[in-house]
Amino acid sequence: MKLRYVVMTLIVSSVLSTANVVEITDGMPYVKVEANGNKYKIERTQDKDAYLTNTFALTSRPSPPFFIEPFLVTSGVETYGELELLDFVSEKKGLLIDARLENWYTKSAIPTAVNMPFKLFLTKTSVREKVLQDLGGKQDSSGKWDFSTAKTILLYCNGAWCGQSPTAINALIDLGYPKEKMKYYRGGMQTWQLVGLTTIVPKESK
Amino acid sequence: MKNMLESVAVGLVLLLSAMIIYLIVQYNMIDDSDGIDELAYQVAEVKPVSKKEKTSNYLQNLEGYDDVDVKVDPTQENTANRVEVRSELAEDALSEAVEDKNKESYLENLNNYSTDEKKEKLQQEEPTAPKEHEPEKLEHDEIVDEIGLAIGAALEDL
Amino acid sequence: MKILMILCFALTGVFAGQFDKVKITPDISYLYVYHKGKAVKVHRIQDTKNKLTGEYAKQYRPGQYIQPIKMHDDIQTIGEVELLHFMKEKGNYKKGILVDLRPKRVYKRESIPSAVNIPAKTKDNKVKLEKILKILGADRKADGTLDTKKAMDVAFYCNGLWCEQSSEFIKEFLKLGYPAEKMLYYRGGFQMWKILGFTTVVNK
Repeated sequence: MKLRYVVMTLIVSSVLSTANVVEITDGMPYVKVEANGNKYKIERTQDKDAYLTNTFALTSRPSPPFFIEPFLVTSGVETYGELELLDFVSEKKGLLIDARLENWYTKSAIPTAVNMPFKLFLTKTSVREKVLQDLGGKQDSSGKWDFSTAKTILLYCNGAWCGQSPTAINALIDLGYPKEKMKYYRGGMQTWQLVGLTTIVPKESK
Repeated sequence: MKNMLESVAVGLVLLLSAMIIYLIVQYNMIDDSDGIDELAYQVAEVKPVSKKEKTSNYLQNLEGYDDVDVKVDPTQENTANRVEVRSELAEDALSEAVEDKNKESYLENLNNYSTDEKKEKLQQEEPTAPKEHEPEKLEHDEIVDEIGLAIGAALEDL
Repeated sequence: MKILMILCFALTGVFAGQFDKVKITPDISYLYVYHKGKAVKVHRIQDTKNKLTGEYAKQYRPGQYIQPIKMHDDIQTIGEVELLHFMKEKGNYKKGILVDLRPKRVYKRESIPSAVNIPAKTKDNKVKLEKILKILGADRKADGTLDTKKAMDVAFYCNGLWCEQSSEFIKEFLKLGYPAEKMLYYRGGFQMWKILGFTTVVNK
């Protein structure tokens, strides 16, 4: 009897000790996601002494090009928070896009995000054509795009002071991408890191 | 001594006035080239910029930017951009000591503040900030914050 | 003379904040709001090397869950631009009020300019809540319903996007009959306000 009791206590305490003290939200200690064959465990920092100390702690970037972005990019495009992003990625509701220029993306990114620097949406190039097709767009003979079967995309950039993803979203709207298929994670890398969520350093691609 | 100082002062004033007049005359004598007119016009009015130009300017600015990292002690509080405002609750403590009657008149005054016509004009606008051409200052530097005081009083009660 | 004119325009530009290094939006560098009756200039820190440090730079927050983007289907979540617009168009004219839901001692230490403090724990005190409703312009009628035609718009904020106090308090307010359309939720809270370098006030 005593042995069983001891064993039970050991099992329970070991399970509890490995459980996250800091959960993402109530009942969600971490989220497991995968994309492009890579698996990630997204959780919040469990380090008692963790502070945001990198360049995302900077408060005042010069204007231009940095201004505070409105909560909505435009009416019709939903703004997402961290929980909505995690749900979007774990339930595979669409594609998570990091819309920053490459030099920002390669420093750190949100797990599973694909880098599509916003500038590629600004001018007509073969790269843009390919990307839009990959997103599910179909081009007719006159060059007009049909996005009725396009994927739902969630875009983010650096945070509330960064205009890169709003610029991408606006450029896509100009191309005819449906607003209801675009989501904007306004918090960006800054907020993601400020709440201690897992980031990755993407490998050099292409 | 006094006379000397006086004459030095007068001399200085005369000299400075002469310099100002000389400079004004000098500048007026500069040939009125097109450049100066355009400059004055541009500063006075914002040139309408096309959307494409805006985004290409934005891209240029962004590409030329690099974060400057500095090492700071994250545990130390930073007091930049902090303003001290002295609370007027000292006066409010007085009104708290007074009967409820005075509080009622407070609330009565608040009720008289409603301006329904103005409220209708303020529709839900697009989430962008309004344009401004001049430095924005408030009508008064100081007003009586009845609502704040009233809420403070309501919370202090009991 | 034209040079003098240009100089005048340039000076006006400086005072209008046109040449501020760190702006809020392309059109605005600052605005004035009333805090406890005194005019306070709200602007961003101009030092591009300034970093957020201290309590609000902490990443380790046990028991403080990340909140959803919307607190309630009918309550609008807003960001800094919308909050400043609210402060300027409503707060300054007593048509709207910004409420800080954090505990009193935290509010006194530092808060957003123009905010009044209603600690979230007040939600358990029905008497105080009714008084507050009255101050905000909501009339409790004899039949128990709340007449909110003349009620002010209220914007709420708390510590940050991991702070649960706001949602509990606001839900209580809704239960008492305050209309959701008159409520705004500044989800970023004091943490976002600070990390963007905005002016804060110390309430002695």
